[in-house]
Amino acid sequence: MTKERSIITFSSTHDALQAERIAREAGIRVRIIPVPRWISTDCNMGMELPIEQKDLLRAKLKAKCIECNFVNWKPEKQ
Amino acid sequence: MEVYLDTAATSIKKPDCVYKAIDNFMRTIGASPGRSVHKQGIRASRIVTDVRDKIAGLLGINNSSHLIFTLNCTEALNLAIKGILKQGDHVVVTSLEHNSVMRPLSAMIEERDITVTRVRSDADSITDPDDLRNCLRPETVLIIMPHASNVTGTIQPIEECCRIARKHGILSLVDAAQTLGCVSIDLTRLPIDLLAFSGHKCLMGPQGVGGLYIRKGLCPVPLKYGGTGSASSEEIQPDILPDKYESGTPNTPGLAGLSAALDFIAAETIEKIRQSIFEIGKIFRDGLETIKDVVVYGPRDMRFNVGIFSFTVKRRDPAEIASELEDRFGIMIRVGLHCAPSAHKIIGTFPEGTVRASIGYFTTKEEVEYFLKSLAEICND
Repeated sequence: MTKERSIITFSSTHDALQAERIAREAGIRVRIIPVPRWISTDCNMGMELPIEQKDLLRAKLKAKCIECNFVNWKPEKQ
Repeated sequence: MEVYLDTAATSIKKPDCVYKAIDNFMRTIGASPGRSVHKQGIRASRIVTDVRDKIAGLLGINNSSHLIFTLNCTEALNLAIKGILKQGDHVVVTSLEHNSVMRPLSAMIEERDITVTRVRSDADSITDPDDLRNCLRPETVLIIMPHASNVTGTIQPIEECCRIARKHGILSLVDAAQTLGCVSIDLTRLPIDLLAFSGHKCLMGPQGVGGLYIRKGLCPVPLKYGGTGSASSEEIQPDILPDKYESGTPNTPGLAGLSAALDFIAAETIEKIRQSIFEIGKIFRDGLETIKDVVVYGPRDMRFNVGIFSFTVKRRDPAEIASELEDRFGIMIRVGLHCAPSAHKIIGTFPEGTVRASIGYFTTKEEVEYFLKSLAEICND
């Protein structure tokens, strides 16, 4: 069974890559992905990460004023 | 022997890592940044984000999204000038401005009925902040000044002038074409609202990259509109930085080269680069003073010079001196008005212009001594 994951969307590639750097510095493993179209049709670049690390990364990104949205996603349901 | 002394136009020698980075990008990445989210697209996007962060670090900016990449410093100045000025605004400039400032302003005089006051600098091309203050009017919205004159190399008192502007609620635009990369610019301390820079002069990147810093809260009207890879469902320009000002595929190979140049500068340090230009420049400037019939313009004190030297030779056409330097000695310099006619009116060299020699971090003492010896030979003939 596929594990539920968290997907983050951003308003720009710049913000997505800033977020990736912040995650990396915090030791959070993230993966850059094309944002599924059912989540957003804006910036193509998003990130996914294990759902249990969502809150930690959300706090880190908020502290750096990176605007983003978190969506929970379980691939098998799509 | 070939000697290149035209760094004020562009630095011809780059750190090795710059050539390698461009080649590596072209051969192994090559994709468009900010669009497709495949492996190569992500790598290209990271290059752009990294170089933006490096420039932000150099300038002391927290949020690198306020750095906009442009084709060159001229495009950055156009974006600032055309994006900020509105109908009937008043602008104060120095008498040292490059045509990259004066020509967009002239267009704004025609299109938007703006008015421009020019502060006259002194004989060494230094602008007095008190003179600038005296030119301000209630309708003044912007002051513009170069960090250093591209004709005489004179470093301007930008801190005092921008502080005066800030105190009066007036925006400041600094043209750092001749300084970023060889003079420290700390925006945590300097009250500058807009700063335009070139990537291929002191920063030692390739041609085709420049940029504009836009202070938080300012929203100039974009110069161009188009695809950004963001907010793609909307047919209006996104109000997101840096995307708002960066439509179309950027010069990613150039940005890869600039990124490598910034690594080189960070390793060397701006202080070391400045010190090198100070020391080589002192030999240059002092040497020019000793040659018969040579008249040198701009300050003798290298603390106020960025490594650009304008001179004339009595009774000789500057173009003739330039030709002899190249034909007889292989020395490449620039002659003429250097796109800054008003600066020549101040030093009394309009319209003939001057011979301009400019040094960079890779200019050696031996090259300077060879130049001085060659010029002395020409002048003694």
